[in-house]
Order: sequence, then structure tokens, then C-alpha cells
Amino acid sequence: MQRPRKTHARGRLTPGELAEAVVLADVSLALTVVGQVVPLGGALLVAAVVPLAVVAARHRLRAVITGAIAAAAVGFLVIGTAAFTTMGACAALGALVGAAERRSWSRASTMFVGLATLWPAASVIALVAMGAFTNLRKLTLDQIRNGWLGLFHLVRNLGLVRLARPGEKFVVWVVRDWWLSVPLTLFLLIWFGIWLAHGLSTPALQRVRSAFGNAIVDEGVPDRVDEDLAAPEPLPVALRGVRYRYPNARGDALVDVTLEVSPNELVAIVGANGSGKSTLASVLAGRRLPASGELERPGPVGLGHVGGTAIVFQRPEAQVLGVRVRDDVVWGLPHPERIDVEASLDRVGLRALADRETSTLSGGELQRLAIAAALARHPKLLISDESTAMVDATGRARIVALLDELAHSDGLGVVHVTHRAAEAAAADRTIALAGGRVVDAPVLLRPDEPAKPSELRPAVRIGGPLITLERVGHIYSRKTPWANRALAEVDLTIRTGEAIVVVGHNGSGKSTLAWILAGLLAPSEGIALLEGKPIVGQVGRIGLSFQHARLQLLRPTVLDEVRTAGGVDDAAARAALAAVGLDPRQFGTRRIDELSGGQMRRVVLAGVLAAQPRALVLDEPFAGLDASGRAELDTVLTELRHRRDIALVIVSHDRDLPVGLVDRVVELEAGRIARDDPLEDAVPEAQP
Amino acid sequence: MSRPATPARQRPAKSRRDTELTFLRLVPGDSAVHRLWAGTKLLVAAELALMVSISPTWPMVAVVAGVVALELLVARIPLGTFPRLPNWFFAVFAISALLSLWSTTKPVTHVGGIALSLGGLDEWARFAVLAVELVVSGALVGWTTPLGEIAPALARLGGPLRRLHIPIDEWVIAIALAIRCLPLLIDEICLLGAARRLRAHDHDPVRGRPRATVRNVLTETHDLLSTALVVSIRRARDLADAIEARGGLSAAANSSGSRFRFADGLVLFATTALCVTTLAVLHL
Repeated sequence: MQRPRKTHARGRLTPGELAEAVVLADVSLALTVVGQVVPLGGALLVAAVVPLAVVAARHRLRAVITGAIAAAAVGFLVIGTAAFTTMGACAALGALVGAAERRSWSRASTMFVGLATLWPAASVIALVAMGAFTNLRKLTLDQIRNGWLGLFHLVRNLGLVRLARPGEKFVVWVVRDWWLSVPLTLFLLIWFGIWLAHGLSTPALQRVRSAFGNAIVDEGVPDRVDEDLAAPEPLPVALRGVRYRYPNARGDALVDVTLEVSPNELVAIVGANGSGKSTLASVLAGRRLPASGELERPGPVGLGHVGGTAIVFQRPEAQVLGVRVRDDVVWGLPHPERIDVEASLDRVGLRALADRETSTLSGGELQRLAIAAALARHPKLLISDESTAMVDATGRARIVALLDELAHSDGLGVVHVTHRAAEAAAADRTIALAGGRVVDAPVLLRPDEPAKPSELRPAVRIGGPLITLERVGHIYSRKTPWANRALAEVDLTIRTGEAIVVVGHNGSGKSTLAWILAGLLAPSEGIALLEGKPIVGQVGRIGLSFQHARLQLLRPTVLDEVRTAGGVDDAAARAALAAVGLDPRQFGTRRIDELSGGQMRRVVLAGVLAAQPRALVLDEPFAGLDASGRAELDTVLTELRHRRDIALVIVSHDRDLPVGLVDRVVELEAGRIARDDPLEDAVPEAQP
Repeated sequence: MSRPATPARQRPAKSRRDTELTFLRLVPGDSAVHRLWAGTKLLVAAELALMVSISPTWPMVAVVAGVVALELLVARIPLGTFPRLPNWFFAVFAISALLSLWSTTKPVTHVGGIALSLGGLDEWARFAVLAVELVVSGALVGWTTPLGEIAPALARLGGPLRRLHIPIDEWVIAIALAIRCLPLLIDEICLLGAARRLRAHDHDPVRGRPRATVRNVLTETHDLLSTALVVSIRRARDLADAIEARGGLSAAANSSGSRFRFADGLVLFATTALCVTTLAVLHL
């Protein structure tokens, strides 16, 4: 197998390395913390080694150390000083196992190297610490002795004197000659630790590699241009005949693209998912260098630098770096105290929220915050890379208006990448992409596997009550200073065959309602029943699909996933795949991480459907999908309603749902039902 | 394999106390403790940990408990702030106490013919109180400090280490990002747990739940762990993109927070004086 060499052997960590080290070390810490409060948490403690092993296998030792230090510092505030020893042990074992995996050592060699290096180091550290803190050592050892002596006392009273006597002697020896017994214990612990960590990490690393390619040292942002010292001058930029291909990709992502962007204009780039529009945005932002063709600009791009280029991405919560709104605006800027944070926030209409925590903002607010952070850098070029894709209609309108204003009043060059043709209306020019080429008109509807709605029944039979919620309310963190009411006095009856949509803003309680409907959460007030029995005891009878589909896909390949999720055989899994418009012959053996976001959602749906649920709850099923993705999912769901006696609950912040999909709209406002009306055209049309 | 429909297993929600991690969340309020510089609070926590490590005796344990209690009172931390631990946690606690009581450490007293080791109990109690007060003193920092102020404080505290060519700035950025990401990752791990529960099928009278053989448990653990890793690496890539979009890591360590003031000096002086005096009285 090819083992690529490290590219950055020395020096500071790159953003890619640091981010991965921190996030994975955090996972490790989270497992440790959870390991302290759940029974049999010891298993999680061993699992906590694996994330750091992944860092070690993919990056430099410096990344492992930095990640572990960060996690230990955060952990100190959660579990106290135990965080230092736990994270230290995890980092040491992880670094060893990761290095072993990268160099293809056998388990025996790993054991040998590990014991030869870690054991002496750990023993010296332990003995020095125990020598320094004499009194604490005595207390701890006495505590261990007392516990075991008590146990053997019990054993003796049970009549097992033969077992108790040598046991007592052994414990007394361990405590008395600690300078010998501690290193010996460490030897056994490390031996066992390496054995377990190696066994757990190797298969996990294989899956990580199959998901992210063979490149062990992560390519991160591959063709990053080194920052020039000159002042940024990104505009006007001209591309002529630009071609780009991702490493290890089969085809070109961009072919012969020619375009210009000047100050004082709003350019829209439209196209379906996979048309190359985000790649083009990356090239414009200087994050990727074209493979061929010409790219001309007067000076450096200056991505993220004052007077340079700013970019806003698709996923709102993923680009927040600060804990508070104010911190996020100035993150990464030199001399934050000189920045007029209020002015930037004022431009995007978030001035009142300057001291709020970023975790309390809605998707639309977060995207405007990202624009405020961009404005604090006074950019000449602003790129919005599908920044409106995950935002509701009101939020979208505000962002598009803001972009328009920035281009035409402030004189910025603004590039707005979107899959919604309607948003291009405000633009001075629209560039349509399809298959990486500039085309005359956008090809937005491109169903790759059209599900054919055929022989639909004229109308859906609506049966008796299936799910009943009576005066349901829920308070998170009850009896704590953070008590937070999410739902109040919700009365809701859902009948078989019925399809409802639950709409509301962020924080209106929609997701809580979805969890209660699926039985994952016992409401703190009222009762939630499925066919007369509490839903909590029947988890799985009501299917739930998360907005974040990847978290529900646990097996490596598609068919395997559907089979396991549904608890069904091969034939049923194939049928379920076909029912969601994915050809089992084509998709059955695909790896999960090769799928697009829309395909992942449909695989989750297939797994849920295979289990034959009585009702289906879909959390934001349309978020982030382009027009063709929406159309496909719409067809699948409509067909589903007509073929099975199933109730459908769609939870959405978005009101523009496909016509004819649902018969009832329930609107939540601050945890209460503000509206519960049948939709005018309750009878679905036969064909959209 | 068929079995009768499972009876509803819903526990009465009202009486149930949810296990919940309440760390790293700011308790709303504006007390003297809230207003202290984050660095001061971290130093006090570190100092207390050092003191009981040097001298894990009842007087010192009491002094530390006093300082922690004073902080709790001044910051007006309500009882509900403390994490709710599951019952088995207390069971383990009680069992270890009982075992200590059965040990032969002197002094030993006899109650109704049973030898009870008061010495063992004494040591157990000291150890338990010490462990609890240390966790609380660390948690107090999180309860009384906006999370955004912790990393800048560490940057100032670690300033001298820069001269030793220790990449303190890199660490501070890492800590700030770790604080920012931890809640998101804990949410994701909870979602993964929910995904697992949703596909467990223990309601199904026909198929039943897959048998909990070692092999199945291993496969499931492996599935969950791998998914967590893949999702986290994806999140890390988004994070790296976001860092790039803010101009990289070069200037990221700069941030302003509340600064060292007179009150901070006073608190540090008072705690240090108290600890050193106790130590001197005990050991000289």
C-alpha cells in the first residue's frame, strides 16, 4: 500500500491539522467525560484513545500534543485534575498506535516499541510524582489498601480463608513496596492498554481512510497559495480557460471556465449540486490553483485579511469560531480592540445581539454574523458560497438584499453562488454552470435516478388516531439555572395516512417535538401515546430521520446500512432502496461517504422504511438540497404516502414545501401551537 | 422467536432526575466572583489542587472546602447547578465506604460484635471530600466565567513560556477552539446514541433485538466509533475552512478580555496567605 510522505515536516500547524487535532481530541475528551458518568464507562475510556490515534496516523506528533493539551485544559474545568492524566495517557497510547498503523507495524512490534518507550517514561513520571507528594501518595495507597482489605475481610467471613490470606499479604506488599509495585502495575496496564487500543483503532482507522482516501497526511486545503507580503488586491480578477481537477478524481471539476469579476458588481453563479460552482468559488478565493488556463489579478488574494477577500460558506454553524457574537466578529484579526464591532454588526442588523452566545442564533442570523465578520476586514471581494442554501425564506431575502447593497452601495465585488435561480435576479450578471462548464441557461433539474410516480391512488385514506399528544410540555435542564422550556401544552393528534408539516423558527420547539414523537425523549409534562401506549417504550416504531443524515449511517456500505438499520434481509433492503429512488444494483455496494447529501438522506429513509414504521418523522428533509434533490425527495415521499398506510410528520423551518405533499400545517411559536390548520388543497394532485 | 407485546416501560417523568452534565456553562449572575479575571480563578483552582496534594489532611481539606464554599456563596450558585449523577454512582460510593469500614486499619471499634474500622472510614471520607471539592473548584471557573474569556486568560498566564520556545499561542488557539467545539461534539455524540436507539428494534415481537453477543457488541461499538470519527473529521474540515476564511492562524491568539484588577490581586494574596499559613501550622 502506498504510504505518502509528510508534506509539512516542521513548524507551526496548518489550520487543517490544528482543526482536526482539536476536534478529535475533543471527541476523546467527550468520551472520557461520558465514561465517568455512565455504567461500564471504562470501555469508553479505552475508546477515547482512538480519536487521538487517528490524529497520530494522519498528522505530525505536534498535532497530537497540541490536541491533547487543549483537551486537557478544557477537561480540567469539567472533571478536574483527572483530565491531565487521562488525556496524557490517551495521547501517549494514541500516538503509539497511530504511528504503528502508519508504518504497518505488527501488533507484536507495536507492543514491544510501546513498552520500551511508554513504560519507562510512565514509571519515571509516576515515581517522581509519588515521591514529591508524599502525603497524597500515602492517603491514596491507604485508600487502595483499605478497600481491598475490606473486600478480603468479607471474603474471609464467607469462609474462603485460603483465598483471603494470600490476598491480604499481596495487598500489604503492594502498598508497602509501592516503588516496585507501581511500575509493575503500569507495565501490565500499558501492555493491556496497547493491546486494546491497537485492536480498536486499526479497524476504525481503516474506515476513516476509506472515507477520506488513502492520503494519510491530510491534504487539507491542497493548493493553498502562500500569503504574499504585498497588500491584497484581489480585483479585478479574470479567468480564461480555467480547468481544475481534484486530487484522485476521475473527471475535471471545472472545464474551460472564463469569467471576470470587477468592483461594484454582483455576479451570481448558479448551477445544480456538483456543477462545479463551489470549486469555482474556491478558485476565486485563491484556495485552489487552476490546473491550466490563466488567472489574473492585480495583487494577492488576501483571503481573510484586511482589504482582501472574504468568503461565507454554506453551513451556518460550521463557520462560527467565537463563543460570543462579539468574539466571532474579530476572531483572527490583529488588534481586536481597534475594530468597530458594533458598526459591522449594525450593517447586518445584529447589533442588539453583540453579547449573545453564538449557539443561540438561528441559521439566518449566523450567516449574517459571518458576513459581519467579513465586513470587519473591509474586503474588496466578498464570495458567498451557497450561504443561503440552509436558511429559510425570510433569512434568504435579507442576505440577498445585503449582498446587493454591498456591491452597489459599498462598491465591493460580490460573487453569490446559489442553486436558486430566483436569487440571481438581483445580480448584474449570471453565470450558469453545468458539469463544470459555463452554459447558457442553468440546468437546475437534473434527476439522476427519476422515481416514477405511477398509478397513484386518487386520494390517501385517512384512518383513525395513531399518535396522541395531550398537554405535552418539555423543559430542558429542569431544576438547574439553565432550565429552558422548549414545549408547552401541546395537544396534537395525528391519524394514519395523514401528512403534517410542523413549521417554526429556530428555538420554537420543533426538534424537541420531533424527539418526543420518535420516543427518544420522555416529555416532562403530559403524555405522548402511540396507539394508546407511551411512545417512549416503543422507540423505533416511529421512524425518525435527522437533518444531519451522516450520523444515522453507521455501516460502511449502502445495502449493509439499510439491512442493519431496518433489521431485514437482502431482498427487503433492496426493495427499500428502490422505494426511495436509488437503484440497488447501482447504489448497493457504494460506500456511504461517496454519496451526496441528498443521497445520504434517501439511504437513511430506506433504512427507516425497511423497519416498517407506523409513522415517519423527518427533521428538515429539504435543507441544503438543490431543486433536483428536492424534486426527487418530494416524489419519494408523495409516492410513499400513497403506497403505505403511514403517517408523515415533516419538521421544517421552511414554508415553501412542495405543493400537495402535506394536508395539515402546525405552526409552533415559542413552544406552543400557534396554528393547526388543514391545507386548502388537502387532496394531493396526482402528478406534480 | 416471539414474545408478547412488551408492556409500556415509561418511567413517570416527573419523579425522574435526568443525568445531566452541567459543566462549562455560565450560571447567570453578576457577583464579585463573576467579575474576577478568568486567570485569577484558574490560578486559585490550581493553587487549591496543589495544596491538598501537598497536604491531604483534614485541616487543609477543610480550608479548601471553606474557600470553595465561600466562592459558591458569593457567586450565588444555586444547588441545581451541580450535576445530577446517576444512582449507580452513589452505589459505588457507598460500597467503597463499606469496604473501608471492614478493613482493619486502626482505630477499630466493635459494634454488636462486628469490627468496624474507623481509621479506614476516616481515610475514605477524607479522600472522597478531597476529590469532590477539587472537581467543584474546577467547575466553578466554568460556572462563573464566560467561556470566551478562558483562552485569553491562559494566553496571558502562559506568556512567560514563550521565551522557552513553547508554542503557547498555538495551544491557546487550540484551547479556544476546543471550548467552542465541545458542546457541538457532545450534541453529535448524543445524536449518535439516539440513532443507535432508533434502530434497536426491541419493540419488535418477531425479529427481536439482535442478540448481545460479544461479536455484535464489538461491531456496534466499532460502527458508532467510526461514524463519530468520520463526522468529526468532516466538522474539522469545515472548521479549517472557517479559519482560512479569517486569514489563518497567525493573528488568532489576540483577543481582549477583562484584565487583572485590584480585586484579583487581593483574592490571590488572600488565598495564598491562607494556604501557606495552614501549611506552615501543619508541618512546621
